Amino acid sequence: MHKIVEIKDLVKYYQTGENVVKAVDHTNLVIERGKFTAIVGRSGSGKSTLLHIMGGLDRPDSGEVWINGKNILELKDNALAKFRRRKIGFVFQDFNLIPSLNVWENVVLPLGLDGRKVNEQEIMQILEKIGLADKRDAMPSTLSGGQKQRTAIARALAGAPSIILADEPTGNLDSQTELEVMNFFKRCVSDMGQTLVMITHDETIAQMADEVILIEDGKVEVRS
Amino acid sequence: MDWKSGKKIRKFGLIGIVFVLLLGCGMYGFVNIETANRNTHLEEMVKIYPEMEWVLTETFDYYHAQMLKEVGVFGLFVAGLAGILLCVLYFIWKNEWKREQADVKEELAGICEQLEWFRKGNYEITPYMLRADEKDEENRIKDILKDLGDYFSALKEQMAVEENNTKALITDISHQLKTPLASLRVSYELTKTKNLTDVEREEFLEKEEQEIYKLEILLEELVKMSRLEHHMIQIKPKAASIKKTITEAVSQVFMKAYDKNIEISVEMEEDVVLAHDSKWTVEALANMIDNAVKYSEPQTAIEIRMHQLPNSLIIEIEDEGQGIAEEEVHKIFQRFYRGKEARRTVKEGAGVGLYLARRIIEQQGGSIVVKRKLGQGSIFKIVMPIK
Amino acid sequence: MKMVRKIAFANMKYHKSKNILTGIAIFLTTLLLYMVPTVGMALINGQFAMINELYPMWHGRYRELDSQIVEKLEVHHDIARYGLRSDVGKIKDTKAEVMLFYMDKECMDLCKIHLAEGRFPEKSEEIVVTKGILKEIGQQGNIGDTIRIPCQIYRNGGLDFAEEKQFVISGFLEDAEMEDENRTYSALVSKAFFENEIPKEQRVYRFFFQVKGTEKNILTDEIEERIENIALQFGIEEKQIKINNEYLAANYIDAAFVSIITGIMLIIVFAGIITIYSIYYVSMGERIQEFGKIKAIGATKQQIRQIVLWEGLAVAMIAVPITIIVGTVLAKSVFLGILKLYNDESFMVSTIDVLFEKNQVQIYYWWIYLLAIVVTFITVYISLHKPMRIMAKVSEMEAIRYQMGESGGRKKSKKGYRDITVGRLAKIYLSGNKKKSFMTITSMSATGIFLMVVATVLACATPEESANASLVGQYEISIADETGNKEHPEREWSNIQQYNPLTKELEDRIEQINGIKTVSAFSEMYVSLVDYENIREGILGIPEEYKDTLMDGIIEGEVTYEELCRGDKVIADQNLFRWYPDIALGDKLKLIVQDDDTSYEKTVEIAAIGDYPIGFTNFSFLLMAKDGVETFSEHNLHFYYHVLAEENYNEKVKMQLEEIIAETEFLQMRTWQQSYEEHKAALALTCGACYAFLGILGVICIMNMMNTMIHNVHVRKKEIGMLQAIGMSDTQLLYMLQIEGVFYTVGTLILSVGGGSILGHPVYQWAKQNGILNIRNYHYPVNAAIIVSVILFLVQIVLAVVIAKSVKKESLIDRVRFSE
Repeated sequence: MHKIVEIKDLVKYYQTGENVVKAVDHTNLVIERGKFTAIVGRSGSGKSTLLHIMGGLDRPDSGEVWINGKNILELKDNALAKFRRRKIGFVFQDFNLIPSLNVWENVVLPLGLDGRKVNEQEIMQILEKIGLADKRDAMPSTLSGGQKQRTAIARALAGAPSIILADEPTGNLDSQTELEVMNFFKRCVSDMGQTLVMITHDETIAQMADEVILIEDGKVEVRS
Repeated sequence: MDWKSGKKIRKFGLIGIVFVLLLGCGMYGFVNIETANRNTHLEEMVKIYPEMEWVLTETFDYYHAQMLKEVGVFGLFVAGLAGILLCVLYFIWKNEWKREQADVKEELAGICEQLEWFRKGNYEITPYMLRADEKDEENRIKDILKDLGDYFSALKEQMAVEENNTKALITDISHQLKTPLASLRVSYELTKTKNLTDVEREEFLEKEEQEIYKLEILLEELVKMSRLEHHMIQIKPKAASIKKTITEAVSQVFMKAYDKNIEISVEMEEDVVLAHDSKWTVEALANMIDNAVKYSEPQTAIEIRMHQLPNSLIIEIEDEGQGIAEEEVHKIFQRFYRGKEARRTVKEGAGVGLYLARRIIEQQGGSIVVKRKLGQGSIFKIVMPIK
Repeated sequence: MKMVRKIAFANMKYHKSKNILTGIAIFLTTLLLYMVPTVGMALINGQFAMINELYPMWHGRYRELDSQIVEKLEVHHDIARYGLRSDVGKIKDTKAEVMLFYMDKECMDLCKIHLAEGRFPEKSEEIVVTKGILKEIGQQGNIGDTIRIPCQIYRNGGLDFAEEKQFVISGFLEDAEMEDENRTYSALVSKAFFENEIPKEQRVYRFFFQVKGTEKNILTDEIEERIENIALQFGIEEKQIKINNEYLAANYIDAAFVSIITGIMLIIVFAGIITIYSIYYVSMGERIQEFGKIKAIGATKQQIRQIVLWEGLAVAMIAVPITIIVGTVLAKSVFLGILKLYNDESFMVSTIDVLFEKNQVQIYYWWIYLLAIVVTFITVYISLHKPMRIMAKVSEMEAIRYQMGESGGRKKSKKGYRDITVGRLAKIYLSGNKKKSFMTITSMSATGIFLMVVATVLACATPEESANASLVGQYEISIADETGNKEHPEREWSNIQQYNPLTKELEDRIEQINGIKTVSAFSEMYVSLVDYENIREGILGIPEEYKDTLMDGIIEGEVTYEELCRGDKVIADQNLFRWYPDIALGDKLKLIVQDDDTSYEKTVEIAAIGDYPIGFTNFSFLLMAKDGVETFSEHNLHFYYHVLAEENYNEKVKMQLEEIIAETEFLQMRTWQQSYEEHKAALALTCGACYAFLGILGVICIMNMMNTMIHNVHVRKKEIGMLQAIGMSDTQLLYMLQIEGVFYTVGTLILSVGGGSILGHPVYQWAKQNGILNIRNYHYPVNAAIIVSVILFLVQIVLAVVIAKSVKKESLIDRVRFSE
């Protein structure tokens, strides 16, 4: 078993007025390389927070996050940003695309930010695999929900990251589109040997994962 | 010569040259203007005091010479400065270059070390490579090497896992075979030793028949599965009508369903031409429909639907059978797994059908998921990409 | 209605940041609307109070009137009050000028002449003098003492021979600083003395008067008209009339002035409208969804309009009272501040200061408050008018479906870039929001262009140039001559010529002074114009060094310098035609020339017309080459020495020149520095006020940019959050914002500086024609342009940094919030 993400004793509390919400409560977690891991749990159980911290979008109150043998919490903001755009791909539930850029431009965005030259063939391959090859010049406003999410997925893949973190990417889609998108997602990730960590509500989706982790009140229970 | 260090030096050098040139032009211009000024002044003075001409000219020449001297000295001074600056720059450049050379050597050495480790079968990342990441983020080679290392590690693991898998497979197969074989052996022993009545003999023969049948089926499935497992069977997707495939799969199971009085209905508005391996897909679909029939009560219905999305095709198989328990939803696709309830109601079955189906579909780029219905039954959803 | 207001207020609180900006814009606009008239009125009041304090009260004055006309005028129906004054004579023999004159009581009141002690002279031997006068004549005395004064009385058109008279001092006038400085004094004699000494036919009066029926609200123009009418009735010529403009302006309404103030207020309103409108416009997009939802739950168009309006008004209702309070407090300080700046430079200004302390200058007017408040609210209403309309028209479905970006993205697809860089991101965003960007830049530029134009006009009005126009060279030494003084006939120019102190020697001496470059001598000859009642004019002789200036100034006709050397051709300065409208180009003027004791006739032809600065012509309207003038007489006709020095002002040089001048009594000097300082003082006030005004306009303009940039980012918060998630570093974010800021800055600069510069030139010409601020030459306001550019860039850079920082913090929270 090869670890790609290891979380040690992570703690994150929120203060809303007088209440203290324990979003992440002394959590330990290990994600295996190359596998599709689903994180399930009720709303408010701290899944998103965990994912954000895993991806370096948020800083915990205490604890360690090791990705690929590196403690990302030691990195300064700019270095963290660089790390993110090279090693981690993100897919959110919505507001993923920039409306003024077309599909192609949205997809190559992470490369552009990293200053890497775009390899047209590679990107076309991804687009083809994900079924958007004919839409490369389309504007986001003309795409359906499923197409938009697939664009977002393509973008997450374009930078050839090691890990892809997805936060309920199919939450806004109908069940059929959901299936379609998940299928593509899973294919791509396994073809490229990447690791996928996804938060989902849906049992059906969770089925497609290699491993399922249940988070309850900020703590982890593993179920496979 | 390394470009990077050269760039900075060159920048300064250029600035310096430009500066010196400007200065030169400035001095030249200055001299000219001054001379011109003095000349005009001289002319004016001469106009007013013509008798003083030679005195004035002398004075003018003197001042002119003075000025030239001053300019000259200034020029020398600047030249001197420039010279010193040049020397300093040169030394700095040399040093930079040397340093960079040393850096490059070190890098190469580090990379060599890592490659050595790989060659010897050690796919760990050397401490040098781990450290280097902090200083030098731009270096793609190091990144790729690290990824390579990870890949090799994963590969090694996978091989180990596969080996284990194979071992497990063999264990499983032998286990599965043992049970019906044992049954047969007992039956055989009994019929050999004892004197049986015709009726009894008939009974035993029937029983043996059943076991043999079970074995045959099991073997068939095992063979298929192991071949698939070891990539001996190629799944060759070709554009074909999915309707045909589905129809074929249904027809294979139809008789069984009819016997059980279960109605299979197929809803397909239009046909879709899909790239898929018809034979194997039929196999997968048939397995699933067969399961549906197996685990449903008589007088129930099975519905097969198809939805076409822009880039995918979804096939749903809905039954009104006993359904699947929540904890087992994951496991039903595992090899040789049979649900508790399933085992209770249906004696036969190796637990291989769904496993096979999933492998086949996944190899064609699709997925299978199952949705539990609130009441009775399940919906199996197959999604296949349309290229 | 209540609901509407509730929503409006809730909205206002919710969109706090945007409304704060709007609030600030309203605050500034109102402040300006309040301050400008207030300070303006205060300055005017101060000025008026000062004028009333220092200046005489008469409306008009006719001079050189004989007794007959005076008698008729005295009973004229249009004249309310009048006073008489007559120059009786001069005191001989002093280096100073001591005038004897007679004034009746009315005149003294009108001219505000007060005695320091004693009483006005009544008996014919009584006299009122000043302490300075006593010093000059070397005598001492108090009230009641007798003094002997050699007087020259004006008889027969000039100063008669001296007679020694005895006087009894009846009173003292206040010593005036100016008198002591220039050594010109006035002593008052009685009516009896006046009538005794000068026969009736020879008496020449000055008639000071106030026009009848002048309540406070008449326009100054009217009064002027009436003064001129009266003059016409009595055949009094224009040059005999003097109108007390400052006094009139102080007490009556100047139409031009009111229009200027109104104009300025309109400009402020305009700037305010543009800015507030732009602020609302920019944020309209994201509000559409909000209003659509409100509409969907049942609000009518009217109600939506009211919500928008009330939201804006609510902000105004908070901003305006604050402004009023701040403005009231500030008005006093600003006013005093302006005064203090120029206190040292102008006696008049310090008078205002003093009067203000004494509370004689009012600066708070209730109608200004009302005006500012009303206009502000009108401004807000107008700004909101279009947004109200647009919001009301929005259809519910459209609103709910409305996505981020502009108008739902009409484009279906576009050919994009292969590689994306941060720079391109910014560019794409900007071009996607063309309308908004354009709106912002345009509104900012409107203010900017205005700024540049005003700056141009101000830049063109340099005191240096005005000084240059009034004086050629750094120092001017001229002959101090006198005509018609019987006691000092040697002071006639015709006599001085014979022993002209402006010799070559003097020239050389002057040139030898350290710091002097050259001396140019201009000659002058007095002639009488036969056809114009022998009025005396001067012909100026221009030396060869200034040949080019002379030739370049010609605007009509043709003549060469050589021709002008002959002495029969002349160039007429165009001002000649203001006084003698009958003369035309090509006319031959008959002249009587007085040389020594002889006079002879000469005819000259007006060969060309030219336009020259006053400093060049010294009020002579006829110009020739120096050689030409010198044909008129054998004597040394040098009248003016224009001295060019290396520095504009050097204390040592000035002193040395003064020493040289002091050696003879017939020389006087003007310096460039004097003229410069006079002009500078005059300009300073105007400049100060203008720049303050422009400064605030500039701030309003910047508000606009701030709003747009903030809005741009606000709308894209989620986008930016996402960009950060996929790895945009903070530096890159800052870079992107900077590029957007630069776009606005550069766009605005190009339009304002470019457009303003282009507009500046015609405005400059208009100003030059109307003689505003003594503008003569076009100067490009380099300083203003540079300052504006630098400030804009700085603001944009700082803004980008601040916004980037705040975005960074918020985005993370936003992201977490919307996902949870």
